Amino acid sequence: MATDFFQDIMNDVVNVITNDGRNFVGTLISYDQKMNIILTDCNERVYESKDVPVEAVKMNLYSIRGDNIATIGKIEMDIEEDIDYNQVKAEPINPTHIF
Amino acid sequence: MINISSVEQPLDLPKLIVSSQMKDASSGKGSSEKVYVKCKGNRELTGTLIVYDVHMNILLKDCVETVTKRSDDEDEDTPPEIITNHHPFLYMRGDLVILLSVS
Amino acid sequence: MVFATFFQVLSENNARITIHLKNDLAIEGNIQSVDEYLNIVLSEIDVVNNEENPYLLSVKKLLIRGNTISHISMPDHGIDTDTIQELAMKDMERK
Repeated sequence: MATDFFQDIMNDVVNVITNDGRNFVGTLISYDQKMNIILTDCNERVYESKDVPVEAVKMNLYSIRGDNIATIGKIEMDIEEDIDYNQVKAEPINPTHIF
Repeated sequence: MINISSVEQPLDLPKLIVSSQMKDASSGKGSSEKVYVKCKGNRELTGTLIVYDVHMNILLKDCVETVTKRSDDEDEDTPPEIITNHHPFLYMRGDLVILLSVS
Repeated sequence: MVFATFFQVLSENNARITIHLKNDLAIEGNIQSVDEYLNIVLSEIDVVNNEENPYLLSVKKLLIRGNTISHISMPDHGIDTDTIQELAMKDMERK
């Protein structure tokens, strides 16, 4: 069940992709049955194009409605520390198609 | 062969396809009828229908997926790019299914 | 509920599947768990075409919301179609 997963990642740093193609990274401090979540120390990772490194925009406390979430992933800190985000360049994530 | 006359409600069709497929499988007839599924996003599927549900979620076996990509900046005359993939099993989410028919 | 059961069985076998999302990302991973909405948790994930899509570099365990899934591709081994079909038929007769 999804609730097991949330208990598992509670108070961990998570990576959230939303349906409009935005990417947030923050510490998960709260969630509910509808998958609404609250992140603290939240940064939005802005992917502009393949030529520009990803930019982190500080947001602090962030609440995201469950409906708008596409994926939530747990960030493995040991891998995260080794990544040089100045080298990470990519096109923006596509929004989740509503056909 | 599927007897269409017994189809009264829309979902009777996939039901009939699955039950005839099950009969074929139990009588040892290897290749049964395949279904054609048209999906949103210019995606077409052909395969053996294993199961479906009320949302039209479907599970296909030996599925061939064809995606037709037409880029915006090309004019009408250039042929669209066609990508074909084979999947041993493919689950397709119901909300993307446009139509299902016996191929 | 047929599909929830189906993916439940796959998760017990820890099957490796590829989930294609409606935002055009494709994510490969071992299926860990599934719920009634077909939300799926994958472990040991790899994003297909990682070079172009470096959005989940440090993520190994990922929850995917059911309604953002487009389709799922699965390998052949260990899928028992007879059992799932019988289950589906029983499910329908009950209604």
